[in-house]
Amino acid sequence: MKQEILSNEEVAPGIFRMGIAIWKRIQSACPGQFVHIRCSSTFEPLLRRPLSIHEIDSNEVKLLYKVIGSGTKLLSEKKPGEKLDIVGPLGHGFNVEPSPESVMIVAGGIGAAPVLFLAHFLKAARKQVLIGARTGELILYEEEFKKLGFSVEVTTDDGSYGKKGLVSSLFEEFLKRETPAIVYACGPVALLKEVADTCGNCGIPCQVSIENQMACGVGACLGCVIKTKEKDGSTIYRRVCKDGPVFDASIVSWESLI
Amino acid sequence: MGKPDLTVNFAGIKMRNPLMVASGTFGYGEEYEELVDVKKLGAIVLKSVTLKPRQGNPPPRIVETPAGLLNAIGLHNIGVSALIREKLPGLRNLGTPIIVSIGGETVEEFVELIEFLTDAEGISGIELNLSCPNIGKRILAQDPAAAGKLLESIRKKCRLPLIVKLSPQVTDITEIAGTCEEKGADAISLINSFPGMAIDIETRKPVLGNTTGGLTGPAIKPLALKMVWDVCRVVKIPVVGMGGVMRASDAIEFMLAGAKAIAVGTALFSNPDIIEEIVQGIEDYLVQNGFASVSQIVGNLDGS
Repeated sequence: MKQEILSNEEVAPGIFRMGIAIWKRIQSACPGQFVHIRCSSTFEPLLRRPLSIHEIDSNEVKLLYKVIGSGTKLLSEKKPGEKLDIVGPLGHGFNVEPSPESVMIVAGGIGAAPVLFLAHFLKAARKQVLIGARTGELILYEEEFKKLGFSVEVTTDDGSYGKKGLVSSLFEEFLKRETPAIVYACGPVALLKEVADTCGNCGIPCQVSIENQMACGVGACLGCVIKTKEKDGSTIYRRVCKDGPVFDASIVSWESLI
Repeated sequence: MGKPDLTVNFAGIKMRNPLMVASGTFGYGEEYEELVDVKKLGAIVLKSVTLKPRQGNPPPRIVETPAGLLNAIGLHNIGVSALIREKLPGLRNLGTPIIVSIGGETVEEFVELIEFLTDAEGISGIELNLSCPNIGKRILAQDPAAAGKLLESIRKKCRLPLIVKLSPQVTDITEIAGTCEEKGADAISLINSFPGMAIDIETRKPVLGNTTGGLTGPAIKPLALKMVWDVCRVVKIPVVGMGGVMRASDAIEFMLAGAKAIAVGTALFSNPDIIEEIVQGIEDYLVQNGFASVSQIVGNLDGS
């Protein structure tokens, strides 16, 4: 499907936000789901790029992405008015029902992309978000979270904004004061593992959004699997594109991902 | 002039057009349902199944390479019983022929698979995967004598059209193609992926969890085309040509080289509409060149 690009701006060094005209199926998207984008009309790069949905409003879908390789580089060069070959929504997103009393979001780096969309769906009385990034200028959407009724705490690796340190340490400190009924996390795998371990130790349900290279994006090719644990202790491979990208943190075999 | 005839009778499998989806790229036929109208496909070749379910290889299983895709999925599949029980009932009424791909490590496994499948409802053909490059060390497709023995053992047990899929990993592909024809194969499909690897120079480790994988995509098309041409010159049974078909002109090249049907795989990943676009492109080509049917271009290579 070809949709018109409405905007494509660099909102922080190396990080772009793209607005795309909405289509019918995307309007029923769940937070944590993704779209699959063909970045080039040639076959270089060959595969589509999966990007999680950042926000949806009445006329546009917003994507937040970091320029990492050839696909995202080509995407960053696209201009408003151009048509984008896009498929979606795809995948299994965050489970937001039933709404508990208190929720917490932990977002690291570009991990802010899907969790802002998630924030719109969370109806809890007490809502907290912890955002971490390398440096202050990469802390995005603090105000948007506040508008949605979230308490926001920020950490940066270099201490240029908010507290100095890692968001995982902030999360552990926070848990000494309060216990959220559920935690949603998105970001680098090392962060997700620490959040998952901490939640596991405290008995807090936790959902994580996992990234992986994908080929088909619909569960057919089995190229994007990760190792997960079954109740009987055995392990099976599950597809990030179809069974995920959001998983219950307790089933992920974290040792296999680090 | 009216619309050209795109239908193909491929070894007894009646296809509305010559385009199949290649095994392993279309799952069990249901994963693409929201993106691909299966009624536009000539046939569906399902992901290879084995006698027992297989977990497949450790990730990472895929890596993009220039104009190509390396994969090492390792025959991750639900097993033949689950296929028959859970998947075939939903595929029977699609109106599109279903070809079941099977893989085994021994003749006995293949025989048992055939016994499971030959009377199952809703199957139009069997593809023998002798060439999955990602299990074990030696593959059946490299051993004409062993492949011939296998065909002798299963031919009389199988009432369905038997398509043998060949690997490019041989010195002379016509040798095994000839053996397969002689031992009763109804058709040949080629080629499977080329063996390859990629290394991460920062970690100094192979990128794929399986170390090596199979290369597909536009990078292998000229190699595949040559092998299809080689095989079509020595066998009389029909051939499915595949390997890096990304557009109508690629499919037409394979047909001119002698392939009666075409399978598309990797191209689906970048463009789920690819089959419809290729079918349209073939139709346009036939009209522009005054051919009344697609069969008129099969093997119609000038000067060969």
